[in-house]
Amino acid sequence: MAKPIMVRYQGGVSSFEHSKIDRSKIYGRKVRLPLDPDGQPCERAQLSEDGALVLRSGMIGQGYFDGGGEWIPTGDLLGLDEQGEPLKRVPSTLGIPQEVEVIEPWEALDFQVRSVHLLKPDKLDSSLDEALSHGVIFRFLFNYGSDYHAETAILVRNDEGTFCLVGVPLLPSWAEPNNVPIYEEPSDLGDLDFEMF
Amino acid sequence: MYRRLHLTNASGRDAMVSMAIVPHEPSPRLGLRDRPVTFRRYVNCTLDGTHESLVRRFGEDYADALTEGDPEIDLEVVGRTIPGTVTIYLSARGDVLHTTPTFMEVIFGPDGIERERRAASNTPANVHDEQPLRWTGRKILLRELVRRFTFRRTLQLFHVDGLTYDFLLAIAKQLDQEQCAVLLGAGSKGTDPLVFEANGRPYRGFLAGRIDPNNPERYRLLLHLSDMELKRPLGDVLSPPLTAPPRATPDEEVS
Repeated sequence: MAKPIMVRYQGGVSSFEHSKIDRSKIYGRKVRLPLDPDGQPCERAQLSEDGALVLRSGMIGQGYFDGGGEWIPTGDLLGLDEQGEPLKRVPSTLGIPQEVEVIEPWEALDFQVRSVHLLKPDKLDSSLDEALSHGVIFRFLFNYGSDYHAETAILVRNDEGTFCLVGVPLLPSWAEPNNVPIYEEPSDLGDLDFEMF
Repeated sequence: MYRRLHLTNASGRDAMVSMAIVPHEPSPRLGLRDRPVTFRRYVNCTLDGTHESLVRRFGEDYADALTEGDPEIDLEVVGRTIPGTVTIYLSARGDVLHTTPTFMEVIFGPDGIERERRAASNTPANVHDEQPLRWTGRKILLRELVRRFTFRRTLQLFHVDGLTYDFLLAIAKQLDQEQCAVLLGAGSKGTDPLVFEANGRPYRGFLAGRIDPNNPERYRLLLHLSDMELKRPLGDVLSPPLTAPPRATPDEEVS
């Protein structure tokens, strides 16, 4: 069992058991199954841009390579900042109390949720309990496993339960009369899974 | 170049504006201290190197064949960088399909058990130039919104000229003052969930606006897209199983 999510508010520490939930666990899911002309299930595959190669599942590898074409083992890779300097590893936050801060609703909306966790309190500080019951929204640092970047978590409660939303802050700019911000096309479309674009 | 979006305001006046994906805080990139690296996809093996092919050629126990002759490696192809691909379908016999396959929908309940199989229906996109997204009249306080829905996708709306600047600034001002978001609807009645591409996932779209506290001429209008409410799954591991019937999605369908 994973270590608990722990937060500290006004000096009081609360601890939560957590379970990741997703849409399919609430509503179910629908799968579109392609069928060939004989009514048999098809296999999805990839065709290389030059049309020369049909690539079935398991035929594509991915990895990091240096300028000489040498494959770099994943274990040798480091997290780098914008200047190319190595970053320190950020340890997991599970089991370690994280300071929470109260945020405004718009701050919780300027946020891309990547996972949702249903929480069950093992130990709930009364101040936090009262604040959550009054609709206060909290933010704290969250890192499931040790890596180079801690994500952000938002803590809320509604009639259904207490939830922890894990993700990354969005960075919207202001629009003004003669200036509309120019956003780059996201380079991590796979990560965004932005099927509409 | 941003995509266009056809939108109405509270009075039902419509305008063509633009929209873009809001960038998020960047993740650190992976690399080496002393030299640059690039991420690549490459050919891992060819059809002759798959497990099924090797079993056909050498039988189930083909380990010795691999160590002796490297039959799974096609030196001409394996390792080649794959710059881009398009999706295709192979028939059950492994042949490339040259026609669009038909689709069947398989419905699974929240418990993961298959409920139904049926011929797939095609859902057209309903976010396009012809019909604007409309204000449904359903507003929700931002504090309530955060506690009821999750948002995995957010679009930002922008003006394209002076007239649409006034149009969007007025919307942002109204929503900011009311501290609420308005539910936008698509389709001829303006009540349907938003579908951005054919057979795409339907989203509930909530439009929220802010005015820069330091400069009332600057605005932000964000369209927050949700496909999930913050609800407790049935029979979740953190509580005893419930006996209530399965819930329907906000748009009364699973996907």
